[in-house]
Amino acid sequence: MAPAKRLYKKSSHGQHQTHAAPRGPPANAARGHAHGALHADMQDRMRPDLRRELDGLRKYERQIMAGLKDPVTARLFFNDPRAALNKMKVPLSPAAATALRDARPPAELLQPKAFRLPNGQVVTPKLTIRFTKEE
Amino acid sequence: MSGTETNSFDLVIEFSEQAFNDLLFLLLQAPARALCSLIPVPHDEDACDILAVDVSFDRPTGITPAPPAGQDIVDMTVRVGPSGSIGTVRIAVGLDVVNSTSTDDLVLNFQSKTYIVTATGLLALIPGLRGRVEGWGRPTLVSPGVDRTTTNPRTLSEFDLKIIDDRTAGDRDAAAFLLNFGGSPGGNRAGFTSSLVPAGGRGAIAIFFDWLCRMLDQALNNQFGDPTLFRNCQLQRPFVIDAGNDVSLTQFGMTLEDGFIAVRAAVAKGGFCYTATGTMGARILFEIQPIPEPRPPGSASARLVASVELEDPIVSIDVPWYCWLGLAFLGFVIGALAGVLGSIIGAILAPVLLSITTDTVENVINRVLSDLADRLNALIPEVSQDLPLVSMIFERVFIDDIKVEFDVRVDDHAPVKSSGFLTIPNGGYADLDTGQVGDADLSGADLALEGSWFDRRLRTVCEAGLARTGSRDFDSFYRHHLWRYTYASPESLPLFELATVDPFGIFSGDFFDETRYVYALHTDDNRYGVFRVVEVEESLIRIQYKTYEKAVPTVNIVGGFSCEVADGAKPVGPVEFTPALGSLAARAAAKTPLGVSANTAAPASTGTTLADPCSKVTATLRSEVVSMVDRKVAAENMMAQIPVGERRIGRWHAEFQGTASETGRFEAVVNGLHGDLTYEWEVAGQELTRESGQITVLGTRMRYTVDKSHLTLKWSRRTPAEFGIKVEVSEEGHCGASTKRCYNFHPTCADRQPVTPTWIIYQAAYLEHYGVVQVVPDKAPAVVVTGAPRPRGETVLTHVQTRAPAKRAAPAGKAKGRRRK
Repeated sequence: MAPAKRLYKKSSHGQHQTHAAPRGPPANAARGHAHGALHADMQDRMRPDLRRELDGLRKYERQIMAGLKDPVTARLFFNDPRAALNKMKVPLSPAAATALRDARPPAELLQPKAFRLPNGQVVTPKLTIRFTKEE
Repeated sequence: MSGTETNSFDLVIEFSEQAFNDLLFLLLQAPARALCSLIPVPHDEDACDILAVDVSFDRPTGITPAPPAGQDIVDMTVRVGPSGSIGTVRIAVGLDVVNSTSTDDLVLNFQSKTYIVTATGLLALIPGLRGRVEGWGRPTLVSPGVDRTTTNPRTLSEFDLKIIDDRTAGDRDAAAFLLNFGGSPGGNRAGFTSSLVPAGGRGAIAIFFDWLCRMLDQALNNQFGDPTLFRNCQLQRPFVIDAGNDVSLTQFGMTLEDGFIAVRAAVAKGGFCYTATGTMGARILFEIQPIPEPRPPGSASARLVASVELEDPIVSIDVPWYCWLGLAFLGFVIGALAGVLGSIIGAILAPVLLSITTDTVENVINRVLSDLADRLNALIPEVSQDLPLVSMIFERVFIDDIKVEFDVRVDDHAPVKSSGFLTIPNGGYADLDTGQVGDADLSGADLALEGSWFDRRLRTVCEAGLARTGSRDFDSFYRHHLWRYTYASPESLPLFELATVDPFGIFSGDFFDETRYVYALHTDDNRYGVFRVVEVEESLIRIQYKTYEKAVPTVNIVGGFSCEVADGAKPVGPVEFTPALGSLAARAAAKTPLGVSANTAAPASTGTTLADPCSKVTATLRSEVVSMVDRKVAAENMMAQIPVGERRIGRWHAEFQGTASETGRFEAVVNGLHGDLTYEWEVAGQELTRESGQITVLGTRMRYTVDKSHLTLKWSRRTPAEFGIKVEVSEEGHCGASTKRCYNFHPTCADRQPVTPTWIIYQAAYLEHYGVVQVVPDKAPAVVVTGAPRPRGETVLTHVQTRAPAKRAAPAGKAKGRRRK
């Protein structure tokens, strides 16, 4: 696991990145999307500081999307978002880094699956998980 | 390619020359018999009943003046008498289609387009033969009703005929009935240069894929409850297919490929933190399968069965990075993406494809095929609805357009004198006129079994004659077919022609493997019949036989008030679902370990949960007990043994109510009477003395029209009733026959027909009777995680938002649907 201090390294733009104190929840988050922005259920469950942290990361979207074009980074983002953000040089606050330290998606998501159909055929979906921009 | 086989006609029905012989036999039987009676010298009158028609579609040459280039001509030779003993007459006549506002009549134009008339034998002695043939007028061969303005793809709008004279070495000639239905842009009549019917075949049907699509559009729109959703087999706009799970059908299309129909469908599902799209392709294949006995009387003996091969689905789940990070902050405690694959592939995409391909398409094509024989019988004006003279036996199906080969059988309804099975001991004699077996003293014997062991032979006796048909299809022979053969007498059949020696008979006790060839027999008593040897034993043989009656004077009343289920009729009873064996077996196969550890997880959102609490224990036990068995192979074998038609979740049927026509058509079918016949009809004990009039039957007024052998009754009664119909037929004032038929009138009739369920019903049945059966795949699928944008050219799918997201305020001026790039 990458040390938390690395989160405060300079960004690729040469500026020291710190998270500005959030001035309120983002508009999208307040509305709650089925996807794209935070869902209402997610908002209700998330600590306010993490919500602000997440909102602050939105300014790095271009950088994140550029990094995710690399399949290795994308796979890393899927399995270990904190490591991927580190790799993409996106700074994280200590609280956020701590929250992400043990975050791993359920293994079931990447397990191979197949379905047997009434005609006896077994079909195996070819699955692509694609990270997209915030809508 | 679509339209290749049909030349853009909606439906093409082709008959080989052999099949057309039978159809023309029906038409020419009476006039040829009448012609024979004009022979001015003494001759065997009974021999005039024996008729064989040989049609050639090769355009005759040497006609002066030459007929117009586009004129369809049939060149037929009618042989009269046993083996043509009375003589032959060759007639080349033009076929015309006479259009009126409501019918397109196909007529044999003897009146003005008799191009050739020549005769041999006694028939050549008939004075003024050409004039007599021209006097046959313009008999109608078929008379289909048409509606020129219809847009209904099930209603005939145009009928035409083309005689295909194949000038190539293959010489695949045929008569093609060309049919267009509502919405047809018309076909290219000149495009037919060779027949669809394979060499040796008797008939073929080609269904234009565009027409199939016009009918499928109707069926699919009904299935999904939206009258404009499908057009030309393509989905016109995204459609919410499962509101509860926020799933939309975003793409659906069918195209004709080389040998199959290709289907592609896509769904989109909105969910918590994701939008998933799934695309899946399939191939629809068809085959003709016999319908096992017992079958309802008059029902088809075979049906078309669709099977589908699905491709592996491609699923793309789009997750906004921001949302994924939010989930990560929460430690992925919210089950986002759980069950996505199951809910869109297992519960929606696969069932949609299976529903449309194995039910909708199959039902639509089967409806076309099952209507064909009825339609053909209805086309022939001399044939009433209740007299299935022409039957079509579907044999093979090809895709390009959809082409179905069939056999045509024309039943002459000749009475059978004797039929059944006879056991003939070595040295025994058999009389196939009476069904008696005896010794050499048996009078009227036709066959004798001589010799012993392998040196036995079945020989004809006295003047009985025998002909080899080369066929094994005992039921395909009617009396007029038997008149075509040349009979040898004496003739004998050695044992080794009747059966071959089975070297493994030492184990079973049966040393003979019967060939079951069918032989035609002209009996010693001048009847015609068929027989075949069905069993050979050391001391005897057993034969199956059927001997037709001579042309003795008989009359039968056929026909009735037809009862039909209207197109688009609603079922009168509940739609019944019958689960198929295949779904149960497939599910059972998935439930066993099978070496692929089935049912590892059930989808979270939809479908039947298949989790078995005892699965670990039973799996352990199974693996201990039958570890040596390749379970996967066993499962595949189990599926292979299930007929293709049963590899589905089941079939739906419903009762439909038909209504009896107010017009009843009856016909007196006469055998063995010649010349100018007089018909006297009687209904419910009341003699019909005029050509038309009215009587009262059981308190309800009935109008009648009599036209010699035809009786038409108009009765508007709406309750069941029973009344008698009697006809007396006499030949020039003497020698007649009569019959009385008790007719049961039913104002309604019930018919159980397959139905295509709506999607809602299908999905519910799918999930109840089959569910989402998840197994661990053999091959490890590649799961790709990417942040790259969608490749250019990848289908852009539009998902229909069905539920307003919580706390979301739709921006002003934006549509409800979301469009993704």
